Amino acid sequence: MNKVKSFFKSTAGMVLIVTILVGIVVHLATGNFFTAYNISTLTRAASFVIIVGFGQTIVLLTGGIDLSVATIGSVCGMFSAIFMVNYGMNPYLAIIISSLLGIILGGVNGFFIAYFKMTPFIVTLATMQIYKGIVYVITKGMPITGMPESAETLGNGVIGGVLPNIVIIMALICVILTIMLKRTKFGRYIYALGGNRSCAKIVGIPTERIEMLVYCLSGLLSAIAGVLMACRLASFQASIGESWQMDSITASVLGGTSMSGGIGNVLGTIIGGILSSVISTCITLLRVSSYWETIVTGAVVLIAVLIDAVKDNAVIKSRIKRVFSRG
Amino acid sequence: MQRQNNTEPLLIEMRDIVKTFPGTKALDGVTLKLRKGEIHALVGENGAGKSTLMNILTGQFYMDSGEVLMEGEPIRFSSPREAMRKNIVLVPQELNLVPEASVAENVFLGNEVLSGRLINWKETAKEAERLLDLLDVHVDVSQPVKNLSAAYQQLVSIARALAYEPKVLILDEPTAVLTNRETESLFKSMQKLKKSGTAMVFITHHLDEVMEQTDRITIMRDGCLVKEVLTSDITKEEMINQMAGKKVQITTHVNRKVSEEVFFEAKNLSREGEFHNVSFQVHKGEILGVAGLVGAGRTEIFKCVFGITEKEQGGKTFIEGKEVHIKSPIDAINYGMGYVSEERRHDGITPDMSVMENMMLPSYDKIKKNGLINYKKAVEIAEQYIHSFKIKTASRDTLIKNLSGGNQQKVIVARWMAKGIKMLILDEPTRGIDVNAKGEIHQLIRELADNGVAVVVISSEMEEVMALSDRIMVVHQGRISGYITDVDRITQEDVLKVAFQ
Repeated sequence: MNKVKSFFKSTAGMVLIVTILVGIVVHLATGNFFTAYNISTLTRAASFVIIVGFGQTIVLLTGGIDLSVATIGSVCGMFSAIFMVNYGMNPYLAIIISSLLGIILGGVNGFFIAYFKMTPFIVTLATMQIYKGIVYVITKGMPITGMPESAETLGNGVIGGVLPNIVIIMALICVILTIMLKRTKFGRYIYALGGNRSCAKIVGIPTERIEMLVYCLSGLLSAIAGVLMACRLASFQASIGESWQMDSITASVLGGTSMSGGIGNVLGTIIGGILSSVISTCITLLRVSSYWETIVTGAVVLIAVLIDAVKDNAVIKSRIKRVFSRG
Repeated sequence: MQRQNNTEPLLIEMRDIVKTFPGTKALDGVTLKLRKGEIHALVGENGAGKSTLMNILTGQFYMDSGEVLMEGEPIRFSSPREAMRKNIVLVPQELNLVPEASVAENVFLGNEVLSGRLINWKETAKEAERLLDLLDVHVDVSQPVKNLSAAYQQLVSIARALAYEPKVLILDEPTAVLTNRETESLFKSMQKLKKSGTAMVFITHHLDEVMEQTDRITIMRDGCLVKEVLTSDITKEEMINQMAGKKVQITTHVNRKVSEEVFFEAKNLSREGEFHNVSFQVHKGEILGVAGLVGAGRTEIFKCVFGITEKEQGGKTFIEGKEVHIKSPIDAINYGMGYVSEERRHDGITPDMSVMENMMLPSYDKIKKNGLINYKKAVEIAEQYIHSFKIKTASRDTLIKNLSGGNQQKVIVARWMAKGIKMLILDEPTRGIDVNAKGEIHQLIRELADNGVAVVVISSEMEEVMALSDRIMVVHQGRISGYITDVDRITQEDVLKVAFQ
């Protein structure tokens, strides 16, 4: 009972309430929100950002940030398409190999950040540009089409007409990561590293190795999302997941992950990711011009984070109270 | 020194202040009266509510109920800045400086000397020099403040407070990092301020300073006011008993039997600018006290032993007679060492983690089952230590940041006990910890040694070193200047003599 109560008091809980309220309002207005088709489409669209968001969350937990997630997804998506289309590789093998490639790309980030003590923001900003360049050099900006049907089914398929494959994959990853974060030494060390790095060192945590692995993991998850996105579209375009770096940070933060490290979890990231997706769906359903989408998303994020900042801050609360009582 | 009686006009009156935090009542109807030109000691154990009370006075926290009057007028600040405008200034216990900025800039941070709308740097430097002069600090004010020693940095924070021309000056543990000479000059300036009418609140654990310097004492316990009394009407012992609410035994020296076996030995350890050619041994089951002045190199020697810093070529370390190469805390821990740092908040605890997790962090390897942490076992161990160490916490899942300093320290000691170590280094184990918890921690340290663990206690408090140690190693200017073995027959002066010989 207590756990339920504290969940709804947390950031993720508040965001979940907002999400459901928005859904109810739009459903009342259009009658089209809580339908199997809409929910299915919405969760499928959200799953890609959420998978990337998982990696971002884990990086944020250590007090870092990964701006290269989108372009790692792009590079790996490209390779999966090349393997399948140009080399006729077995689609599943291609998916696995190109996903594992993400570990190496993420490892490059981790190597500089962990062993050379470079700032995560700068390192990933630089690799983001490099990876983006690699894609343009190899594809010359042209799409790669003609991926096999079995790959498309994996990315696009829906079980029983309601449950998209990708949602199952996302949920599975969430379960694995939750167990990893809560129940393994590695997971707890991630929190310890973000919570107080000096203390982590003194209690004998191999901080460098943990940090390195965290960026590898983020790379792997971004790669999985990028490859599955290419599969879903049955083709590769350089623009795949362009907005993922910011969307993944948004999902993490809305899910209650602290930008300064040590606090957060991956379940919250799902809720955060769904909210963004709900907003864009609602804009479509309400027939609002899609040009408004980012404005609304930005405003909702700002309001959600504002509520969160105010609710535990007695000083701001009473200041607001005073303003209103004066009026 | 001229002491006050109760006749001076009231400057500040805090009446029936109540403040609750989630889960605890931090202040329960506390009253505090400050008179013009007095030094008012605020004493109590950790967690008694002293800091909360001062934070309410300076607008850091809101009170739930009660009122604050300044010269008869009700006041209520919503930020420390508003309080400063009314010349009420707090010097916090933790240093609050911008390390890269110059000394002068730090003194006037937030209170800049302006000509028109621009900062007047010439005047800033001149004024900073004048204020530091009052505290007997003569340094180049244009250098970055990080170049100064911790003690001087503390004095810079006090100078910053003086720049507001305070009517009320609150000093939270100002002498903790000061050496004797600096403490003297601080007290001299406090007496000067007193003559000019400033009211000072002096929070400290050093009760001798309270007896010497203050006019009046307010004693707090568990968020309540115990009593306000003229300093001349109370003794130190009475004060301690009022703070603790019962008779307290100040720890005395116990003669212990120590094994002849050497656990750890260092030969010719050096680090440029820190310490030079240091050799020593620690026996199994021994408590080795390390005394010396702040900055003598005590902390640095043992940081190096634990692998936090690297030793220079030529230095050797041995464990049970075998040479070992300790390059990181991980190595040290693998050889059976543990380390309790002097700065609990900086590298002792992970504040947003639970008590249990802070305790179990290094021991997860021991309680793994199929690659997963066996929480049943973790709970068992944590509960056992919470119980046997008498750790005051709502539950094992409480975040450690919500515990008092003494209880946090017990969790850290328990951390290494749970790990099962053979040597424990404790740096200032009871700094800023109240009398009761201090005695309990001393008892824990003795039990640890009785179980055969080699214990090193670094402390600036002579009483502590003398009460605990089987042998005292005195460090002076980066060298070992001598050992004291007949600990029960010496005085503090003897230790100082060894240090300076």
